[in-house]
Amino acid sequence: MITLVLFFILLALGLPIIFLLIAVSFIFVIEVDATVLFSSFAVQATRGIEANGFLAIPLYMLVGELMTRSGITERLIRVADAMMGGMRGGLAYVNVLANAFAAAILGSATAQIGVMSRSIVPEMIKRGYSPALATGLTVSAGLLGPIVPPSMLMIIYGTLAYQSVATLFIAGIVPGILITFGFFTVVAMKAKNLPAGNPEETKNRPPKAWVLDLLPTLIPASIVIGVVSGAMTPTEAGGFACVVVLVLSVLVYRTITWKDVVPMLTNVVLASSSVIALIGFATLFGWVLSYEGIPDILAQLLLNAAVGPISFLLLVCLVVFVLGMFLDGIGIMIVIVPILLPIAMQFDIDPIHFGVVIAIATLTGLVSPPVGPGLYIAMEATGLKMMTIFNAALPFMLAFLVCLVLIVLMPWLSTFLPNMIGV
Amino acid sequence: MLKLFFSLDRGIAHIERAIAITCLATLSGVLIAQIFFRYVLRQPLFWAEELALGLMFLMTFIGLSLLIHSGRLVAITPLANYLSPTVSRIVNISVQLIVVFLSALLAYYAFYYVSNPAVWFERSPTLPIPRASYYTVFGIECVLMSLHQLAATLGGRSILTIPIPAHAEAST
Repeated sequence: MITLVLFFILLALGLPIIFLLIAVSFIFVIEVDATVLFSSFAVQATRGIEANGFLAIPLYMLVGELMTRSGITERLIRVADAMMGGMRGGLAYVNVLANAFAAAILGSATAQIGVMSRSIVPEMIKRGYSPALATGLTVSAGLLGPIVPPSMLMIIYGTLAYQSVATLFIAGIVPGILITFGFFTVVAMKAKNLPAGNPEETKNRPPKAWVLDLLPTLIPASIVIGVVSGAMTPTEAGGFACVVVLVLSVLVYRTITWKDVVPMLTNVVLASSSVIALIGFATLFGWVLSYEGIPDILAQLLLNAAVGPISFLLLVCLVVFVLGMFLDGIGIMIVIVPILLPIAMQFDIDPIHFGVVIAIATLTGLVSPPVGPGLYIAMEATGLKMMTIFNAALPFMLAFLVCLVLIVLMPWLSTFLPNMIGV
Repeated sequence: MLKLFFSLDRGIAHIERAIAITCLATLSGVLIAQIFFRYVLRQPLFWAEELALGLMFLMTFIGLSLLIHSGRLVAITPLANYLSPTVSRIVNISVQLIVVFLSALLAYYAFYYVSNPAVWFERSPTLPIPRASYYTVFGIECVLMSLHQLAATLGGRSILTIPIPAHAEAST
């Protein structure tokens, strides 16, 4: 109880998430009088990150950084604009489509919201869209990042749950498309109040421009084909994608020079460290909780409350949503997957389907006050207030939740494609 | 004296940055080379993943220290807009001191653990590196985290009020 109270106090005071996990681990150990655990803290925090699967994280971050610096976002927006920019509310559709494209490269929602808030939102405002709508839509569409393959969350889940990352990548495709169409539907419903499209800009694009702008699709294609065919592990596919990106950005686009190397690698070091260290300290926190059997108590509570696989999954979504209001999605995943996966198996839930549901559910916290990191990133980028962005994002988030419920109710949405391909 | 401390803080961060970047570049190079050796030369580098893991480990904790130095740790500050400047400053300094304390505490327990000679017998499977060296690195980096945070606090940098910076702090 003391731990819980102090957790909220420290969270409200602004203690960084990683140190929050360390602090509550120390406090909990003192509260339950198990100080003997202190001497193993270093071991637990480091063992948490020693899984080969996590090696993919810096590589995919490097791919994302290289692509961002190569001006890929602008290219993706141009392609999306050429496809849908002529319709009424065209740039809103373009926003969703460009986010779906970017999701196939960046793999992280916060990364995507950060990049898109600075690129497409100013363009939308320039063309007469309300800043709140442009930002709310961008924050929501950024959630596609960890669903469409390759996805960092899927890699982390696959590593934690000993599931094939290739299967998880493929399992995310249909839910990703479903959510994309969910967002399209909301845009269509709002279209009559949105600015007209600009069909002139989309005409007469020379074939060379199409080819150059579509070349980046080689990146997700090489990753997905490499992993799904079994030719490469996700880590190796990340390494191969780095080579492809380097060739494109240095030899084709000529946008990366030697002077970019140090800032780029520094960014990747910092971004990867924040994710991997979070995994380590969340593992430590989970280990501390397991010493007192807290996971078992939570598992028993859920087991008693759920009457079948659907109610169990809905309860899991609710728990993840509530936790996501205060904790980072990766941290939640590290702590709850080892607890809940065995129960999911008892309910005969496909572990791949479970992974897809958990990955999508953790994203809801990104856009939920009071913490909502996605909202904070957009606030930083656009200067709008949190509740203004949240209110504008609400219709899109409702569509997102409807899609999540549909995926829970229809497990085949995440399992039929992997089964069909045979991964 | 304080000036010297700040110079030391910056100097250490420079060295850390150089090491972390080298780790990342080598890690990526080793994993890319692994693909070439496995699929082209048909001679997989059996030690590649373990070396890469070691480098990732080193990069992660140096990176965490650099995150503190550069004020780019992910922190959410829901109360920031509701506090007066004075209270906000007090809260900020308190939070920073908590980080200093927690880092020092982690360092203490890491060094306490590796002070047991038996710990040094455990070695990694393919590279003859004692696993205790990882925990030692962890301890050293915790000391440096503490130092960076202390320097930031003494220098009046309110480094922890930044919520989440641009795209670099990608998590979920």
